[in-house]
Amino acid sequence: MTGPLTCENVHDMLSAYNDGELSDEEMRAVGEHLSSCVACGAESTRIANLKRLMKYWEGIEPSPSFREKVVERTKREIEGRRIIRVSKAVLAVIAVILLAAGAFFLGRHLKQRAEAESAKDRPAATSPQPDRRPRSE
Amino acid sequence: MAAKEEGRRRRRQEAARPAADSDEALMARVAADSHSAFETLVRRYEAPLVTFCYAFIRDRDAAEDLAQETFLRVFRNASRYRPVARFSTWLYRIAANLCINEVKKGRLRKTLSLDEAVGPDPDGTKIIERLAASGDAPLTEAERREASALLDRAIRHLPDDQRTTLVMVEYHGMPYQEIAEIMGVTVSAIKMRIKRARENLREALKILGAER
Ligand SMILES: [Zn+2]
Repeated sequence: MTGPLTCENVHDMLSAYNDGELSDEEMRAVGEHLSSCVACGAESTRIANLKRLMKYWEGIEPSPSFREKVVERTKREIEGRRIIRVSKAVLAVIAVILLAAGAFFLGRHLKQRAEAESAKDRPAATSPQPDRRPRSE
Repeated sequence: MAAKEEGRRRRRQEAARPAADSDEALMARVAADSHSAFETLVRRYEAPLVTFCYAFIRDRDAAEDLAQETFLRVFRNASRYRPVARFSTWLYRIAANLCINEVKKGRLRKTLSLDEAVGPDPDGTKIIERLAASGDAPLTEAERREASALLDRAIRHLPDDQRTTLVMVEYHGMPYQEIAEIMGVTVSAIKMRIKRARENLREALKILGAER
């Protein structure tokens, strides 16, 4: 900041001054101006009074059921999450069982086929019966 | 009454609160699925949050709905919250976005003019005179209620950005920097808004008969 403040400068800063929102240097400069300028001093008092009056605005008190509604909704969400978590766990177990069963049956099937293949490769004379028949010997 | 006190005392309370009880510590517990931590936050912020939404929307029921939605989002996104920003800034930013969208939808937009006001309020004049004369002497309960209602009418007529800024400064006691972060604008924009808000509030009070 250079030079002394004009009344116009101060007028623009009075709102922030009353909120304590100017830099230290500005706060000091405006304070000095106010101590010697009646017009700006009066304007600053008006703003201070307006601030004092605003303290009487009570805002909005939430209705008595407000918190209850919020809590109820979030509790329901937690319950939902728990159900999802449990279902996921159950699904995972089912998936593991299915995979294991699948692997078992696939393994058995492949083994049977391999045995059947090797039976076919043997000389036909020794084994007249068709491939598919279960071997009973 | 409790709402106002709650709003005003917020900053001092924050300083006095033990670290384990801070908003940020509670949020960490909410992220770990603690519902009681969430309830503490709701109790702490319900009145200031509903009032915050009311400043945007000027309708009590809509303000409660938006505040409820805000809390729900806080709860759902708790694990995404990082304490780099104050919890309150994060909370109010969520609320501001919801409110601004709601206002944009235009459903609740009422164009209010001072003509709609009930007209000059002779009791309002008395209150201002009394405030000026009595210094810090407390108002009677009836006068308090009168003053609050008068201010409510005057505030409702301010342009949106001025009204919301005024409420954040005077009711919530927020520093300009935090308001700027919540609204996504510069601190100098906030300075301008609060200055204009006060000029217009004074005009509105004059029309309502409370200030000369
Ligand atoms: Zn001056």
